[in-house]
Amino acid sequence: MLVMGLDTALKRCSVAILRGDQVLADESVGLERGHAEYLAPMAAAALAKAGVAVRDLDRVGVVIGPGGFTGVRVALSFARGLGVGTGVAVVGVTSLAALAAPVGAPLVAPVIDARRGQVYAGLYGEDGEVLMPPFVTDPEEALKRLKEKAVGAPLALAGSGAALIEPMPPGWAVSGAEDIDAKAVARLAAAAPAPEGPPAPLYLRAPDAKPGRPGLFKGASGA
Amino acid sequence: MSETKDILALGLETSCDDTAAAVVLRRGDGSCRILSNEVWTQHDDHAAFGGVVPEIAARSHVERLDATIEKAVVKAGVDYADLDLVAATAGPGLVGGVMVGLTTAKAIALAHGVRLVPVNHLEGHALSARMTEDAPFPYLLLLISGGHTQLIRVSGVGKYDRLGTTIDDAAGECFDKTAKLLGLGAPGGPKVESAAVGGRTDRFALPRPLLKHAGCDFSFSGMKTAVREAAQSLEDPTPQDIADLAASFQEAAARHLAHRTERAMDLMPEAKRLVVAGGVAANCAIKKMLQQLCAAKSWALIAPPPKYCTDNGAMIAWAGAERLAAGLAMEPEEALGLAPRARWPLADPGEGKRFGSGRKGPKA
Repeated sequence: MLVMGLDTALKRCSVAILRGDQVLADESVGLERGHAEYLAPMAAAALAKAGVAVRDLDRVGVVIGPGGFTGVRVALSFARGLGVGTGVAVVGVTSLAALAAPVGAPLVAPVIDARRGQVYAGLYGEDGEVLMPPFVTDPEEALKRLKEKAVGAPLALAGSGAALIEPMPPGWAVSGAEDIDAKAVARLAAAAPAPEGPPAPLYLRAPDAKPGRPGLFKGASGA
Repeated sequence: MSETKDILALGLETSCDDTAAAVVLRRGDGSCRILSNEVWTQHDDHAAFGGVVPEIAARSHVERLDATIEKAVVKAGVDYADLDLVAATAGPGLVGGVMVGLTTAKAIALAHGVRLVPVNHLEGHALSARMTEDAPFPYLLLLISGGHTQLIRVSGVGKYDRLGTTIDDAAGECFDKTAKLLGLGAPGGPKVESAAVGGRTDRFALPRPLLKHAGCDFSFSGMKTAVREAAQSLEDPTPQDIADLAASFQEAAARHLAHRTERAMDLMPEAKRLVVAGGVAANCAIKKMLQQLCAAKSWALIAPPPKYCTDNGAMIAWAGAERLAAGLAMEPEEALGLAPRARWPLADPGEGKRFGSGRKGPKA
């Protein structure tokens, strides 16, 4: 299976192309901002390096969040654009599953700093089984929930928010990478069931908007 | 005009609260055929918030744009392989939405080997009349929408001079705020227009902004305040009160737009053609006032149908095709790496004036 993996959800912009286990292209750059400028030229370069066209791809795997709202939309709109008129299946992968996948421990808890005193977290088994789907909460509450679920078993923390989980219970260790690897995104997408439609973003947070103030004449009809 | 090849263009527009895609054919003789024009409006998504919320707009665009494009292409009866270009609004506008449209266009360009042409949203409006109307260059453009109020001399594709702009609110913004104040709901323009039916235009004395100021700039914030004060003076308003206030406001806004437009006409008397574009151009009272102005000065008033006045994908496809035909399209490599722009003036302001210039430079 020929698969492209895309990620712009956090502080990197990454593109990988894999044929089965063989890595044909693997591009990644660290970024605070500007994902929208980097992604398309990087994808073009990766396709050229791999010697394949978009139409040759069986699937595009894309990180749907949780992460930066704008970052999530960069790769997602690009991936969904690649699917327009090509028949290439677009498969959504969560940022947390992508962080957990390469770790290879029996219990992996990826944690992302979500700012505003909160983290995005989840819990995964060794084969990628989702034990706790992505959630957002403060670090203390995240620790409590993970401890309850782990019931004393050793656990590997991964991701940029791992250091926020303290005090670390005995047997826990930080062992995963801070950043998402686009190759892991591609592999997860390859292993996923065939999608029924394009993936939706996973924000875990409502938009920051307050209901509008009423007018002077609420509900008046001028007619 | 010299003959060029036919250009089949897909256009994407996502700069505010409409998710839009269209397929347009520009023939070698410069004529236009709109093959499809799909718009998915988000009004309901924003209704509870009393205005467009940028994050909500961006969320809607990313979930709706691909299906909107597919619908436009199917309706047009064309193949992606037949497209000569994909054009997308690259600014100015709400940057989260602009990013979705531009990034999607980049992907389509890459997937189908189609040329990507980033388009300035204002250029889309500036050239939109030429899709359906006989509007040879040069002409005076009055662009009136929720985000922009500008007078532009259009001398050709890529040749724009700004004669005037709003120094505070846009005309459409003032309609939206008036509608909200009067409890009429959204979208403000059509709501005020229907509320004004049967209302007296002379009941409330509203200001005539910048009457003694030279130039062609606009101002709507004083009018907005005056409408609020007039509304506050009414105790327990009747439907007739509201109709009178809506009609008085609409008349004052139309009068202000016509007055400033007349000054711009005097700056380019040879043009003899006034083109109106933007969502506010759909307002009948404003159109009527401009019609009277043009009749008095022996000018032609050119107004595209309302669906091409409000935000749409066809005007973006068309502007992309016009740019490509004129040899003005951005180089493909530069386009692929282009950043969406929240601010992107179409033309340099004349006479060294920079109204509305914030820390990040002029908005549009």
